[in-house]
Amino acid sequence: MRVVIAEDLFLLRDGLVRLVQAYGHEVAAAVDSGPAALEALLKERPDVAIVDVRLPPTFSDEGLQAALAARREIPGLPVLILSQHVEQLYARELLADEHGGVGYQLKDRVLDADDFMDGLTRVANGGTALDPAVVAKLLGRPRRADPLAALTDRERQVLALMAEGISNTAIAARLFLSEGAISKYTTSIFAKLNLLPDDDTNRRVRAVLTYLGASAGGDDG
Amino acid sequence: MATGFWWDGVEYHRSEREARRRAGMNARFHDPQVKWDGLWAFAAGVTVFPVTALPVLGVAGGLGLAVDGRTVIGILIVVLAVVAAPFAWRVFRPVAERFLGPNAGSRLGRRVRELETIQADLTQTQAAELERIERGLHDGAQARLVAMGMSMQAAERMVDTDPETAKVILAEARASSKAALAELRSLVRGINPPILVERGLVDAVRALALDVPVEVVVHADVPSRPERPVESAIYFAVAELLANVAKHAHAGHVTADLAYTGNALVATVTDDGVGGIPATPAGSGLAGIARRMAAFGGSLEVDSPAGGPTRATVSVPCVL
Repeated sequence: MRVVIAEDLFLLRDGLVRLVQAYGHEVAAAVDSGPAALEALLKERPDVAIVDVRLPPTFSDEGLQAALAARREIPGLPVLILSQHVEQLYARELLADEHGGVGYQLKDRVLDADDFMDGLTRVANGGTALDPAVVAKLLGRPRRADPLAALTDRERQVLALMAEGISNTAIAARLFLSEGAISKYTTSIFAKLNLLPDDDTNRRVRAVLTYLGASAGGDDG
Repeated sequence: MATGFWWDGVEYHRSEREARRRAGMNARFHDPQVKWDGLWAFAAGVTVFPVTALPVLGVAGGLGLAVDGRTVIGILIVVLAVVAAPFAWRVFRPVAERFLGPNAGSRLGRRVRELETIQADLTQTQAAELERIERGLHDGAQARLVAMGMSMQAAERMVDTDPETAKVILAEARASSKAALAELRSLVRGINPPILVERGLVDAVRALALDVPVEVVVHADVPSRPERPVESAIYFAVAELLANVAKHAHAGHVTADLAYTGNALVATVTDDGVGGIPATPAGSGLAGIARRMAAFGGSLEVDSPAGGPTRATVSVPCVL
């Protein structure tokens, strides 16, 4: 696949380019600023983009804004956002347009190359790759009447992996269970949470996240 | 036997008695406040006294006339004097405001003492912060980097003879680097939260509200981004207030309001919890917030009757 990379630190950009190439993909552009990122995203229309949240010139959230702007132009343009810290607020903003093809991960995850490239591929295919740290925060959100309390520990584990955007097959591999067992768990989770059962990973993630209140834009009253 | 000299506050004297006498004299007659009060006595004597004396004179004169036989005019003057009396005292206020109370020098002195306290607090807080950061780096990231260097050296030695062990050691080094990153991240969050840098106060408080284990509704009406130090001070104050609510209040509804009043940035955290926080809890986290706010010329106000609701307000004067 064709990848655009936007990262201002030379070493990390270089590392990402090499990592992507090592897995047999093509790097269409590697840029180091917010405006350049937006331009590359719109011009190259990559299969997937890796974008750092904080980019020059302002070193605020330029990268995130560039990604959001590009996705407004090209709905569903797959982007994987990298950051030194994860915020539920950013995850909500990324997921708000409900087009899928969104990733949001800590930069540390690059160190697990296989998992990272797995997530990148998922995003490129219109799926989701949320950092476990974000998912943990989302699942930890307080709700007045907490229906998650009805879930068993194993079901919670499966729910967390589902929210990250991982497919049943991959969840089965991670938890050393059979795929059949996982689909039993998911059916039971969907039943307990009153969600429509679904095999499509992306719609499934959306269902879970909507349920967790994550796709609402904000909580401003 | 006294061999030295004695200081009276202004100059040295041969004998202790003389020094004490002079010090007493100085206190009595050379205190600027004494001069200021003397000035008030004089000013009141020539302004307040004659004006307020007029009604009294009027009553006395009127009674005199009435006794003399000119009853009507006498009574009229008495009535007039009594009616005018409250108005005559109006002269008191402007004069008193000018001359009573501390003089400019004393006021300045008091302000200097306040500022000295704030500065001392600030210096201490800063030193404690630096120490915390140093300890965090020293025990955390630095130690992990050393461990990583050693692991890699070992792996380098073993890579030819025992590649399997080398792989295990390298994996450990990678885990170590992850842990170091996590530690640095939490340290950075405590120094200057990244989201505050990236998004400013309002979104940072929204993110905070999402992260505390109680449901918080955020209202924000701030026209533009305040100065960074003000932003950071308000952010950490709100963070601590929300953490307190989550820990102690047992609240169901929590709101955080950010507003700009025209000359101050005001953040209010309200909860419907158990309440009953004392107004001036010395040594607590609230006292710390109050101190930090004072450093910016701001304040912390807590209104927390037993049984709730609790409302804590921090404000810092600033121009947006």
